Amino acid sequence: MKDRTTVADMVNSVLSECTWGVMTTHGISKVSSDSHDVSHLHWDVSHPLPSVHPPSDGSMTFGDYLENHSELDSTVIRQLKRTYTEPLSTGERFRSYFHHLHSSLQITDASKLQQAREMGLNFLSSGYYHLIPSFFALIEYLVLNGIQFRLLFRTFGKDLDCVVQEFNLFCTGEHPLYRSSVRLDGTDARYPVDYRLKLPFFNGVMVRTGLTAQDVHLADLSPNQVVALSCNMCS
Amino acid sequence: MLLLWLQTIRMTSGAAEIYSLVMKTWFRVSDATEEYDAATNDICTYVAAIRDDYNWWHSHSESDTSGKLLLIDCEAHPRVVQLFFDDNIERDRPHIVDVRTLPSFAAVPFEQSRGLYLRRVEPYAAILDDQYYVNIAKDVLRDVRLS
Repeated sequence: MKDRTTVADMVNSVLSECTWGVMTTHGISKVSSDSHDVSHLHWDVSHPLPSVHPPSDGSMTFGDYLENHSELDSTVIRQLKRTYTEPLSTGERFRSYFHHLHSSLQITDASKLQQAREMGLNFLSSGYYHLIPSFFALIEYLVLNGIQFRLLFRTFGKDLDCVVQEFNLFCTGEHPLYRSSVRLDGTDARYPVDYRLKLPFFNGVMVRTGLTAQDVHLADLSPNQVVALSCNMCS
Repeated sequence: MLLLWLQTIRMTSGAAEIYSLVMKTWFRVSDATEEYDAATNDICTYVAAIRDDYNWWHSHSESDTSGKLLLIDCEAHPRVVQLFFDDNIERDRPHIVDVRTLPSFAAVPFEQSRGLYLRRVEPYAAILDDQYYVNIAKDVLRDVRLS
């Protein structure tokens, strides 16, 4: 994610990707930079509920329509998705689902929010989940079932520090919003593995400079460099 | 004698070399030529991170073959299951993940990578259902055991 989005923007975009409709004409939408002017859009809702699967042949999500069947520029598309369920917008009828999804991401326990603030967890202090519980549940499931795994976070953004800080709190049992049944920092005798990521190590930056296999590069910090120096000053 | 701990930047070039760095140096995942020995396997880390090259993807019109690189080497690690979760994987194309097989570095067609290596995350379900990822893991494990 390269630009600032609010949680409300994100929730609207999510709903635009899982609510379904049909193209009303075969025309191409081209005009208007006003995201509230939906008269030029050739897409209508055909299914009343959000769904991750297409409800019928020929249906497409609003997001799919915008990105693959219109000629609107990316800025307009982004704005239409971010305001999808707002009054007078295309997905206004899904506003109740917006509220449900939005509230599911909110930290409703004031004491836990206060705890996060006291811990200096800026990514939680705005009052919303960052890593979601279903992700933590997966890690817990894999550990409890003895499934060997490695986890590699991948991002285009600059959010790794926050992600790692939060993940490590989960491992030590200190995460204010998710308490695992097992410690994952090596202190639990039943599962003596330390899953914490020790930044700055094991954290690479990928750069691609061409189309071949040799044009891929990864920079990381080598953790095991010990250099023994002998010099006159140290005698 | 002076001992210095140096945090030196290591640059690894080449897809195969990067695959080896991550799988062997970082994760110590035994390959097909090695006997796995849990007692002596000196794991470096179980969790790591990579910041991918957004500029490359953006400058290539966010094409299917310029996104986050997922390297697969079935010969080296035939028993390793790699799963890439991302909500920007689209229903009909990989979009944000560039799956390549080694040693050829050939792009893996979406018909082959979808479901096998790539899992589109549905944020709507992942947020509302705490068992969303667990259920995917169960499906994958069932498929692995059946295969």
